[in-house]
Order: sequence, then C-alpha cells, then structure tokens
Amino acid sequence: MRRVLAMNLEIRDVGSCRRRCPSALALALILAAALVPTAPSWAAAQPEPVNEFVPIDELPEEDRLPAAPFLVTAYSIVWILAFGYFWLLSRRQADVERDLAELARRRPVEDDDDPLEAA
Amino acid sequence: MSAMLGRWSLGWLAVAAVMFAVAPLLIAQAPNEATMGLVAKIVYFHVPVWFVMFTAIFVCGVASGIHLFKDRPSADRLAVSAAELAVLFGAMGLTTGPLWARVSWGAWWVWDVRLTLALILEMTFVAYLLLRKYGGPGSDKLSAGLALFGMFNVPIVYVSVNVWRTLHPQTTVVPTLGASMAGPFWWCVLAFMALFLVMLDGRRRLAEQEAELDRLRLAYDEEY
Repeated sequence: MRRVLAMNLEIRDVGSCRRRCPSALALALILAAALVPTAPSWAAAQPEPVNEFVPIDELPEEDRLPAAPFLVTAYSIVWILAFGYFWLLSRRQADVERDLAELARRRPVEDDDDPLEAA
Repeated sequence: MSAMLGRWSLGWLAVAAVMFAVAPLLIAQAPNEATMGLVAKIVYFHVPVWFVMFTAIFVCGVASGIHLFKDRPSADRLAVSAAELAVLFGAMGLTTGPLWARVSWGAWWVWDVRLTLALILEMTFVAYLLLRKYGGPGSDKLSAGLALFGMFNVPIVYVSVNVWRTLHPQTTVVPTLGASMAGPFWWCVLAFMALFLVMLDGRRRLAEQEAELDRLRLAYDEEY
C-alpha cells in the first residue's frame, strides 16, 4: 500500500513538473537568446590559454610573487643552520670537556696519566 | 672556538669568513637570470650546498668503506662526522630549493625524479645517524654499509635530470653559466667547501674526544 502511494506521489510530481516545465524552459531559452550576443565579449575577457613557457618577467603583475623575501629567507636559512650547527658543536664539545674534567677529578692524585692530556 | 678547532681549521675558517664577507657583493653585482629574475640568485647558495653535501657523502662513503673492510675506528669517526654534515647541507638544499621553486615553478614541491631522489638521499643519511645513535653494538658496520649505498646513489641523483623528464634544470646549466654569473657561483662553491672543511675538522675532533672519553670511562670502570 505504502509502495503504491509512493509511486502515485512520484507520478504526481512528474505530472506537476510537466505542467511547470514548459514555462521554465521557455524562460531559459529567452534568457539564453538574450545572452548569446554578449558571448564573444565574455570569451574575449578570458585570458589566453598558456601552452608554452612564459618567462617570469612577462607574467601579469597579479601572477608574480615578490622574489626578494624568498631570496632573503633562503640565505637566512642557510646561515641559521650553519651557525646553529657551530653552536651545537661547541655545546657538545663543552659537555665532553666537562666529562673529561670530572673523570680526572674522580681519579686518585697518584695517577700519572691525566685524561685531559690524553684527550 | 680555538678548543674546538685546530690551527689548520682556524686558517680555513678565516678563509671562509673572508670569502663569505665578499660573496654578497659579488652576488649583488651579478646580473639577474633572464627568465626567472631575482629569485634565481638562490643558485649561489642552493647549488654549492648540494656540491658540499655530495662531497660529504663521498667522504663518508670512502671512510665507511675503509672502516668496513680494514676495521679502522678513526675512519669510522670521520665517516660519522661527514654523515652529520651531509644531513646538515642536505637540509640547506632541501629548504632553499622549495623557496626558489615556489616563485619560478609556482609550487613548493613537485614529486619529480630529482627532488624525490634528493629527499631519499637525505633520508638515507638521517637513517645512518639514527642507526648510529640507537643501533647499539655493531651499528658502526651496518651504518657503513648504508653509507656505501648512499654514496652510490649520488651519481644517480646528479644525472637524474638528464635521464628523466623533470622540471629541475639540467646539469648543463652550471658549465654554461656566463662569466658574470660563473665568477660569484664558483666563489660561493669554494667558500662553502672551506666552511665544510672547518666543520668536518671540528666534528672529527669532537668524535675523537668522545672516543677517548669512552676509553677512559671503560678504563676507570675496570680499575675501580
């Protein structure tokens, strides 16, 4: 029963669409006909498709990225990493020297060989 | 700094400092590349750091081979030092490259052969360092094998741009640079090489001291 009711509803919907669609279709056709003369101007407004390499200095202004910040960032990163590595190296060096000194302090005085000397 | 570096390295550090002080003047005077403009001046740092990374990998690979086949601990310490620098300079290359690519290609990263292989090379040496740190006994020999694998990867990374289709410029770019760009470029290459020598010597000295500390600790534990 429920299925039959659903089918009836679908038929009724299709029927109502059939009644409304001619007027909607007519309206769409009228709009399309009105817009057809303006289509060439729309096409002209679109940018030309790019199918070859375009040098960066020939790109339109809005498509260009400012190069200087990228250049400065790249150089800065190299220097930050280089100085960071030197800093890390000096810290590790200081740790090793501290451990060597600690080891030397813990060894009895009568020992001749000084670990700091050996290192 | 003098404790970290020997007299020889301090000399190289002075050379590198002077060269890097002059480099910005040379780079500023060099003309902009015709198609990419100002951003192409990243080449003066980007390519030299890759050259240094490849050099570090060759040092690491050769030293690892010596350690692997002749069992020389001093070669192993040199290999570890060079591997660390390979990762450092690789990180520089992998960060400066995307900054250049973003402006000239319109993308930070593309998964083409050169970039992907370079990333794998970097990850190989990160794996080397992780293996050394957490691998336990015997990891020196395992990592030496990994370093040899990484070393044999370098020529593949280098020629990849000539063999496969890629966005990345080919290897013919550097040899055909005009004199006004080649001068600053090779100047920067030499400056980075000098910096590499200083860093390598400093790191190798640290490795020697760490080995000495381990030896003394073992001796102390056995003695007391």
